[in-house]
Amino acid sequence: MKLRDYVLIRVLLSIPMILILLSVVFLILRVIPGDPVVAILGPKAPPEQVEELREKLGLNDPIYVQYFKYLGGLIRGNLGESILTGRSVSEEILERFPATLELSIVSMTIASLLGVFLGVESSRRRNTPVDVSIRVYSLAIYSIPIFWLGLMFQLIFGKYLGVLPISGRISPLMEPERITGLYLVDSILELNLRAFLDSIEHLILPSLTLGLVLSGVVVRMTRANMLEVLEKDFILASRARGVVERRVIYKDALKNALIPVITMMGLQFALLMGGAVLTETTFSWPGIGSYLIMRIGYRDFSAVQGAIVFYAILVASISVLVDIICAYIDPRVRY
Amino acid sequence: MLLDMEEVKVYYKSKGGLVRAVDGVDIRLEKEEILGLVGESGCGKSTLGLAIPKLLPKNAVLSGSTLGLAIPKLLPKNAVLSGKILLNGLEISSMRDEELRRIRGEEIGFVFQDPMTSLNPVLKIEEHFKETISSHRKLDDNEIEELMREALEDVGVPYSKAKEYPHRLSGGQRQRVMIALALVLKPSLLIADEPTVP
Amino acid sequence: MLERKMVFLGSSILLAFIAMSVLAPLCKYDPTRGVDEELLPPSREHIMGTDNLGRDVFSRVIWGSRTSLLIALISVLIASLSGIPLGILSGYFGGKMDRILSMIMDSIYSFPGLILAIAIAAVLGPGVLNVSLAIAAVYIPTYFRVMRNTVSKVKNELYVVAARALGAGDLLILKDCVLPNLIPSIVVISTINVADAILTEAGLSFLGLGITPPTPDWGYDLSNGQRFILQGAWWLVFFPGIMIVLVVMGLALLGEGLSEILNPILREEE
Repeated sequence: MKLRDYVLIRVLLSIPMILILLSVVFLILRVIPGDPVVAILGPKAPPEQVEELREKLGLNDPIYVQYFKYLGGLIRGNLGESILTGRSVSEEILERFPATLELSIVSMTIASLLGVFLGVESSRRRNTPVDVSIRVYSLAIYSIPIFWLGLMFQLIFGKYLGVLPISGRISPLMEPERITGLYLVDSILELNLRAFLDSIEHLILPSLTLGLVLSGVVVRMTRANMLEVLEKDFILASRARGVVERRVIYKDALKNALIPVITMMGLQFALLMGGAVLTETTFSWPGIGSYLIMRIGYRDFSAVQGAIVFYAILVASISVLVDIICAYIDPRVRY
Repeated sequence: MLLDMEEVKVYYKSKGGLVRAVDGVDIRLEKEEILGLVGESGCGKSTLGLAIPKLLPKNAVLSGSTLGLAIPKLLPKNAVLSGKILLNGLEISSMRDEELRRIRGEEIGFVFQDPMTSLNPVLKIEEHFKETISSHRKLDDNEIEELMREALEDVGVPYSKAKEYPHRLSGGQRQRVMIALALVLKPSLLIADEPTVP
Repeated sequence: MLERKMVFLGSSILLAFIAMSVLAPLCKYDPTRGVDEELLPPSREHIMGTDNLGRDVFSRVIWGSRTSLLIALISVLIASLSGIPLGILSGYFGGKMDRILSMIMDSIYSFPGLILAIAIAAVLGPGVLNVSLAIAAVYIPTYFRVMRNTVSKVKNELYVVAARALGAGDLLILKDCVLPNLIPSIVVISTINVADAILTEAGLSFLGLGITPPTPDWGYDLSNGQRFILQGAWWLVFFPGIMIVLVVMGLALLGEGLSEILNPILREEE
């Protein structure tokens, strides 16, 4: 079928998934034992204050009313107001989204380039010392807690070598004018070289941390898939026609091997989001991850709910996007 | 003389011991000659074919005729090849990888047994041709297209099919595309691996 | 045989850590109280130094293994006891319930595990059981999916159909035909999940959502130690972290090795 039709069907199919996720979030945050109001105000709060907040958060309505109000608000993009700051949660989240996005993109790029390269080279040299070391690397990198790797980098590069900053996105007062919110892009648009370099300096350690940890998964998948593809007849056929080896590996074989990898990108994305929360906290990176953790600390119920809902929608969207990319690359998938 | 094979042996190292797939074969082929090797499944025709261009497949299944694969040396890693193989007077058996690569496709054409699996499912037919041609000659796009047209015409496959993916072609068309790919650079030796089996 | 070496190495590491947590009380110092000057670098007295409250880091690290292993084991236990029966039943009986359940589980599975655990832990609060529940929720879909897929595949195999034709009841079929296929998968998945649970627990504690002081916990110590990096107190973050790496690597090696040995079923889940 045409790509266009596939896209449509896939988007429609994602609606039940999003609905389920949103319901799960609702269940977790409202139905699980523990009175959020008491959690927010503390056990010693006067009863009138407790009642007032309960009213305000709509917690006195029966559950199904709450549920529909919740869904209704979400459809209109209304995530409520922060209890801490009083501002619209959607606004606060969208403000911080570019920071997470920038970190994610750079980290994923590092992870993919490094991971695919190591995976391919590992598959070409099966069971040689190079292969074994690469496999050990991918195992080890999975075992290292992201935040510990981050801390070690901070120690080495921040404290002992003193060459890189260890927190924040940019030096004070150097932010470029906000067009996209992505400092790298904005500083280029503004032709602001200093801001650009400063942003990069701040990006290096966090994205390296997250990127390295994610690369482990990519290495393993790429290696496994390549090993399978390299056994195939059409690879033998390419070699029989004297196609240059680099091309056989990096085009003929890899293009086939990457298809399942791209499918796995959906799973990768989930790992990315989780990892980003830890990375942002470690490096005081002002993204949605650190927002979530910070607001949990302040017992800001609406903000926390808003952030989790945001993650749910993001995950569902990426899942759809990944499927569409797969369909584009592998013409057989479109039935 | 086009092809001269002397005392060619191919043994496979396996857990059960040494498998003597091909045990001392002599073949002499002149230009314009056609040699058909007929034998039961597993008698080593396939292996002999694979031995010459030094591309031995990993787990060669000794059934059917993979004789040709021995010639471009497309045999698996656990195969041991001995004996002399000369193509147009040049000794293939002692060539290095890069020289062999240049000969494959240019001097030796190979038609595989199974057209279903021998074409890369994620590459269009024309991409198969382009990578083959550009790996051997420096031609511009028009010249490449010319060669492609000629080859496809020779086997009776409409040129429109070049922009398609393999799974969109019929079994017979795929087989003919394989032959076209083998012949596109006009090699002096063509090895066909049971080309009539669909 | 590389796989055997992996299993051997992995189990040895695991046993070492189990021994460590069992023998923790043999430590000289109490990990919850200050016993000396603050922020002492590693020395003969304190091989891993002391932290900002004068506590012996070595004791904290040894005792910390208890916390991690305990929580990891409890969460995987809860997850498997919930996910496995659900998956088996769903795969065996199929139908609408199976489709709905699968859709729910798939949705949760695709959601970032850490963030799910964060949400639940935030709601439930600190404490061993709460943290275990939060982490368990992340793995239930994994067990469910693998069990369900294996069961629905095996259900149609010849020997099951034959058994049913001979009059064997559902329960007997489950026990004799279905279960033996599942045990290897369960073992491998659980090993990997325990490894992951240790990482998740450390992460939660690092974020302040897990175990609270004064209970020794690796994740908490790392979060605490971060404040002193610029002062050069590297031992506060190095040692707890390296412990996590070692125990997780050991478990991962074990899981990988077992997986290669017990293979085919798991391939699709990877």
